[in-house]
Formats: sequence, C-alpha cells, structure tokens
Amino acid sequence: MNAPAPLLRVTDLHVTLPSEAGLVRAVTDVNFSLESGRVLGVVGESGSGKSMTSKAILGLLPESATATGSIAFRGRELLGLGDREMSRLRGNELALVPQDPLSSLTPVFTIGQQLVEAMRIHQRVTKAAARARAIELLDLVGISAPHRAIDAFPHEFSGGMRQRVLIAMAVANDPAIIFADEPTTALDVTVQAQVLDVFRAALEATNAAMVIVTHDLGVVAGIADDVLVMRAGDVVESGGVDRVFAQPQDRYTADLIAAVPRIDGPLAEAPQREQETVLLAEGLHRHYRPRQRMALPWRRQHGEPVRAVDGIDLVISRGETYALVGESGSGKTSTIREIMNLAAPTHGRLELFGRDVSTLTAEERQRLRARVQVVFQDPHASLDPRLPVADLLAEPLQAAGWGKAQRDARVSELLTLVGLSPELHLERFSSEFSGGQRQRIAIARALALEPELIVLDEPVSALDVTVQAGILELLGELQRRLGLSYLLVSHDLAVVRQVSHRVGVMYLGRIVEQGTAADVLDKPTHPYSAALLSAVPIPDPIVERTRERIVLRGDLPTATDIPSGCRFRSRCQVFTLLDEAGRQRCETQDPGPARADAGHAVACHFPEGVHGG
Amino acid sequence: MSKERVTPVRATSRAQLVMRRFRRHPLALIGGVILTFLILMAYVLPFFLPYRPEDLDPDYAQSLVGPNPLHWFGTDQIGHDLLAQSLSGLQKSLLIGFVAALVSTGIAATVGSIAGYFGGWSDRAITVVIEVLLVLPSFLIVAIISPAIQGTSFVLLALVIAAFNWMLTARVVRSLALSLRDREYVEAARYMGVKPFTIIRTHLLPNMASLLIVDATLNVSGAILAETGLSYFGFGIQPPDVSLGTLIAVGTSGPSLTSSPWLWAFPGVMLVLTVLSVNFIGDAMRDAIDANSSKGARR
Repeated sequence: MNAPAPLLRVTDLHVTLPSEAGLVRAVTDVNFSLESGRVLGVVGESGSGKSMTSKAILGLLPESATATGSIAFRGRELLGLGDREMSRLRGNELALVPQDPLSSLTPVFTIGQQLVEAMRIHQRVTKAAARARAIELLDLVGISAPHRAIDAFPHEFSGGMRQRVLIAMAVANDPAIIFADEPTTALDVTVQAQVLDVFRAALEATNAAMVIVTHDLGVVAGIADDVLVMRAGDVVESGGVDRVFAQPQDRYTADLIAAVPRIDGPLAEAPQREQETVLLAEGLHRHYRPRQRMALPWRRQHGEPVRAVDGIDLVISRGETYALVGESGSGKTSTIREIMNLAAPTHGRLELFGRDVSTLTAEERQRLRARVQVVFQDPHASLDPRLPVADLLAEPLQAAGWGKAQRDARVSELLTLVGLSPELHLERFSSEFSGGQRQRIAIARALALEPELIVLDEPVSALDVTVQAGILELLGELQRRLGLSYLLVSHDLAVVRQVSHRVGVMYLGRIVEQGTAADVLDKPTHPYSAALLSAVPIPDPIVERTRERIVLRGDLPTATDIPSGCRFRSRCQVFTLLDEAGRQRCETQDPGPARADAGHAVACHFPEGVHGG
Repeated sequence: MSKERVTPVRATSRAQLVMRRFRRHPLALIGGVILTFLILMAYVLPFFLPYRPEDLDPDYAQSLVGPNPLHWFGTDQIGHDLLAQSLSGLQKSLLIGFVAALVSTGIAATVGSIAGYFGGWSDRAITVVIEVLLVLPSFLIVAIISPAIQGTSFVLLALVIAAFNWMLTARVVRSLALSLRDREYVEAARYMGVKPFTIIRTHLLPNMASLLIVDATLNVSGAILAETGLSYFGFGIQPPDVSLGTLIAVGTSGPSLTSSPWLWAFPGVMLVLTVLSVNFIGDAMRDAIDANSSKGARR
C-alpha cells in the first residue's frame, strides 16, 4: 500500500479479559487497515472476538479488559486515549450502529430530540438547523413523512424503523467510519433487506467507511468489499470479498462458507408420502380476548381480540417434515402452542393421530403428550440450569411413570442416540456444554418417550452455522431411523429448504401459501412468499450483486387490526400495480386460507401478478 | 454482545463459584466468626459455668454485684448470675430466630410459588390474603395471641412470629414464579406432562434458591428482633424463662438503668452482635449469589 496513512490501521491488537477462571484472550493478533469508502465485513462465530475487536477500536471495552498493540486512526494512536478524547471521536468521526434497536433509543425523548442531541454534542449548530438536518436524515434513511416522524417517540416505531433512526444518528455528523455490530440480527429478513439498502444509501451519501460485524455470511456477501474471518480471537483469513468467497484459502473459511444453508441450494429429498396422517388441522383459530379487570367486572372492555391463529389448514403425514415459515409476529409460535396445548381451539378442529383434541379426557391427554414432543429454539433457555443432564433427560420418563432402573437405562441410550457420551456427560450441568451439545440434549429429551411427532421451534437459529449443520444432519438421521414426523417452525428459509418436504408460508395468523417444498420455494405464487424468498441473502457476492429484490413496504400489522379483505394487501407489491377493480376485490374479498388438500394452494386473488408484474 | 460469550479456560460449577465469592467477602468472615462464637457460647459455655439459669433461689448476699471474676457479667437484684441468664436468653433467641426464619421462608416459598405458577383464582385469593395480612398491625396481633400460648413451648412463639413475617417474601416469590413460569424449560416440562407441583419443586424453587437463602438469613435477625421486642414489652417469653428481650427490659427499668448498667449492657451487646453477624452473612451471601455485584468479584 502506498498511501502514507490509511484511514484506520490496526496492528497486533490483543485483548485480554479477566474472569473467575483466569485470563481469557478474547482477541489475539488482529491486523487490518481500512480506506475511505470501503466496507469491511468482520465475520466469525460466537466467541470469535469479532465484537471485542470493534469495541477495542471504539474504546468501549469493559474496564477490566486490557488491550495492547496499535490502533491508528488517520495516523493518530487511539489505544491509550482517555475516555474524554475518545468521546470527542465517538459519534463524530467513529459512529456506532448497535445491535439491538429496541434498547438503544431512550424511550422518554422523541426521535428528533435524540438526533438533535447527537449533532449538538459534536457540532456548533442551532437547534433549528439541527432539526432541519434531522428531518433530512430521516428522509435519507427512508422514513416516510419525516416531518411527523421527528416528533414521534421510539415506542411508536417498529424495530426496523428504529434501526433506521440509529443509522441516521450514526451518519448525522458525517463520520469517517461507521461501526455496525450485528445491525440486522434482531430483524426479520424482509426488514433486513430494507435496512441493508439504507446502509448502502447512507454510505453513498457520506463516503464513509464501514466495519460491519456479523455472523451472517449472506449479509457480508451483499454489502462488504473486504472480509476478515475470525475464529477464537484469531484472524484466519482476510481479503477481498469476491476472492474469499470464491477461493477461500483457509480450511476454516471454506468450512464456514460450505456450512451456510443456501436458499439456492438443493432441496431435501421427499419421502414417499404415506397415507397415514399424524396431524390434521382444519380452520384452526385461537383468539385471545383482552383481559377483563377483576376489580371492575361491570366495565366491559371493548378491545379487539388478538387473532393469533386465524384459520389454519394443515396436514402432516408420517415421516415427513412440514415447515411453517414467516416473519416474527406471523403466528408461527402461536400455532405450535395451540398444537402443544392439546386443548380445544377457539374454532375449528385439531386432530392428532386421528383423535380430536377437544374430546380428550385428562388421562388421554396425558398419554397423548408422550407422542408429541417439542424442541425449542434456545437450548440455553429450554434446559433448566439447576439440573444435571441425567435429571433433565429423566424428567419426561418420570412424568410418564417409569421406574428408576428403566429410566437410567433409557437416559444412557438417549445420550448415545444424539451422539453424546453417557460416561462423560451424565453428571454435568447444561451450562458446561456448548450450544450445539445443549441442543442435542434438548433433542434427546424430546425423544425420550418415543414420540411420533416432534415440533421443532427454530431448532438451529440460536446456533453457529457450523454447529447448525450437525444438528440438521442429526435431525434428518433420526427421522429416517425412527420414522419421525417434524413440524418445523423457522424464519430461516435456507434452513427450511435444506430439510423440509412441505412448506406453509404464514402471514398474520394464516397460511397464505402451502405445498411441496419444490413448489413453494422455487415457484412461489403468493406475493408475500416471493418477497420473503427474495429477501434471503445468499453467501455469494457475485450472485448477491445481480439479484433482484422485492422489498416490501412497511411492517407487519398487529394481530388486533388485520386489514379487511386480503390481509396482505397493505404491503403487497402486486396490489399497487392493480387496476381499480382489482384493488377493490383485494380490499373487500377475503381470499381465505390456503387449503391443505389442494396440491399447491395459494391465498391470493392475483397469483399470476407475482411473475407477470 | 450476547453472541460474544467468552469461553472460560476452566469450567467452574455455580455452587463452587458462589462459595468462592462468598469466602472472598470480608463481611462473610467477620459475620461467620462472630456467629460461630455466639453459638458456641450459647450452647457450650453453660456446661462449664458453676451457675445454672435454673438456680432460682434468691441469693441476696450477691444482689446487684458488678462484673467480677466470680460473676463475669455481674448479678441481678436477686443475686442470679447474669452470664448464665444471658446465655440462656441467647439460646432462646437463636432458636426462635432460626425456627421462625425457616418457617416464614418456607411459607413464603410455598404460597408465593403456588400463586405465581397457577395464576388465576388461586393467585387472586392468595394476593388478597397477603394484602390483608400486610395491613394488619402484626405486633399487636402477636401481643394479643401471646397470652394464649404462654406456658407452652417458646417454639410456638417462633411460629406465631413466622406467621406474620412471610408476606413480603411471598410477594417477591410470586413475581419470580410468574417470570419463571414462562421460561422455556418450564413450558417444556408442561408439554412433557409433568405435574404442576412437581414443576414447582424441581424447576421453580431451585431457581429461586438464591433469593430464598438470602431471605431466610435476613429473616433470622428479623425474628430475633421481633422476639426481643415482644419480650421487652412482656408479650413474648415469660418468667421464669428469660430471653435477651426480658433481660434488657428488666435491666432498663427503674434506677438500674444508670446504677447497674451491666444488667442491660451485656444482653444488649449480645443482641447487637447476633443480629449484626447474621446480617453480615446475609449481605455477603447476596453479593456472592448476585453475579452483578462487584463486591465478590476479583479485582
């Protein structure tokens, strides 16, 4: 490099943290430099030291941490600067977009006040000028009606909109470098696509450099120019994004890229569809009434009920994986709760193994529980931290009344089944295991009573990609060996593509499109499915640059005010292109739920619009 | 940040970690030493003393003698050895303190977790009971009840004290149970068909253990103070039994307040030391269990 001093040069950066168990080397020997206008993606799995690196540059390390090496910003050494000097740079030359947009804005001040504050800390501007600039910024990040939005409070904004505000705040002082720490991890893919567009626009408008820290290789492929791959505090590979993705030189990088499920990857092989139905839902509804106040029973509350599950048709056959996909708030979790509760739904019919659940006696329900089990998203939360593995696995057996000797034998058998060792692991607590091992324990627990249907609630989304692959493989193998049926709930369409045989796309409590995985994922006919699929990033920079994205407008409405007629029309990209008569039809006629018995069913009046345009 | 968990070099179990943090705490050491000393004094020292608290024959020759080599704490009006009396009082205070604390924390844990876990009508009913008990002047009620239990075991007094001491903890337990109820492992247990009371026993209570331990410890001093207060006003321990409260009451009545200060000073110091040491241990325990507290962390 010939330039005398790059914008940012990091050399031999080491960060160590004290812990109860001794010193932990969080970052060892990180070197890189960054020029204006470039985007550097720092990728790695959890614990790789990627966040610590960006925190070290911003001077935001915990007080107990020690950093050595050199961080030179425009030739000026940042390491060892006091908090005062760093504060002058932070938010001015070095801007941060934090991970969690929900907790990063003060709820008691308006969006405008917070933006103005960010500017007036670093610049001498009048309040009026700062306010005018704030409106400009909100417009830049794509917030509609910025004149009104500026006086709104953070709680009036959705997660995606708050993240836009935080980006506006970051670019407010024309920073030289923007640091974004997992800026889209908390967001749905559709919103993620919107936010990444905003980043691109903001970078173009300010000519700033950006450091984006993320675990998502797809995001990096879409936005970064250079990549830094980190593992256990070390940089294992760095270079241009095209080169690293096309010809990774390090083994780990290659494994990491190969492990990411791809939305353009191969489909799961469909099993022979047997006739035996494991689960059948017909017009399943679950509405929650607003709570009645006990103290004032005479005062009737006229709130709208929450239509969490609003007419679901679903059939799952033996040995098959059915995936429910959709944004958060689409009712996926409510649907599986409804199934797991084994109680009568608000309306409709739910049958498990041919038994209608609304007619079950308490004893029958207890026996049915053994045949339907669940694996939750976060094994950290679904395993009681106070119990050793042996007790965790024995819990369902004990509930079913097994004797001690039988229980012990079964527990050992289960651990072996999921690839853990009974000798080594029985006495340990779940906190001593890694995320992937914990999820194996959770799966073993679900298998304890030899269920026939397992509900998988985002089973891999809390795990690193290399671990994900192992868990998905295990689930597939168990399915083949034990003839299990899975109801998979996931927002990650690439994972869904890899493992499921049939797919249902949920929107506001209803399945709007369902059919075989090949039909729904390759030939989506509902505008929502099409948009959802196009928003999934692909870990390949060349493909990613040429892809056309359908970016949905706005956010998911709440389940209390579902739009009349077609529930998707408020965000539909086809709706805007329709003529007056077509729109009228969408506004007044409900297309009804996608039926389970039709081969490839879609709840849309104009399904041809998706491809015709 | 949550993505960025640093892997520890060596796994340490939580119990070990808490113990290490507890032992590192200076208050734990002070409190532990004082309390051990007091317990030994109360239960071992009497065997080596020439005087028994049961020696009730008045010995007017030795009336109101100040501390001397024969009577380390001096004597009272009728010549009883105050050290023997104080130790007997300390025994009762400690016993009442521990029994009342265990019982009240036990009630709080049971009632609070039932209300929190089941919700609905049982929750409403329990909340109403708690609130009613909280507004009642418990001291007066215990004072009214106490004549009825006079002459019976003073453990009964401990139970009465406990009966009016569990409500605040029960409310905290209830709100903890409310949040634990929605944890995924509790939900998972429900879907496995585990019975509600088993869930409370295996999942809810162990996960509140830290709160309950700290609460029980702090309740010990609360109960000791309650007993002392009641006895001071003549509602608690009745003669011929003595407690620290009755000793202080006798010692501070009339002219002996100034003329024979040893009468109330020694039991008073014992009371202060007991309550202080128990509170120290409770505070140290809270700091050790609370991961956010910096007091127990290595600096």
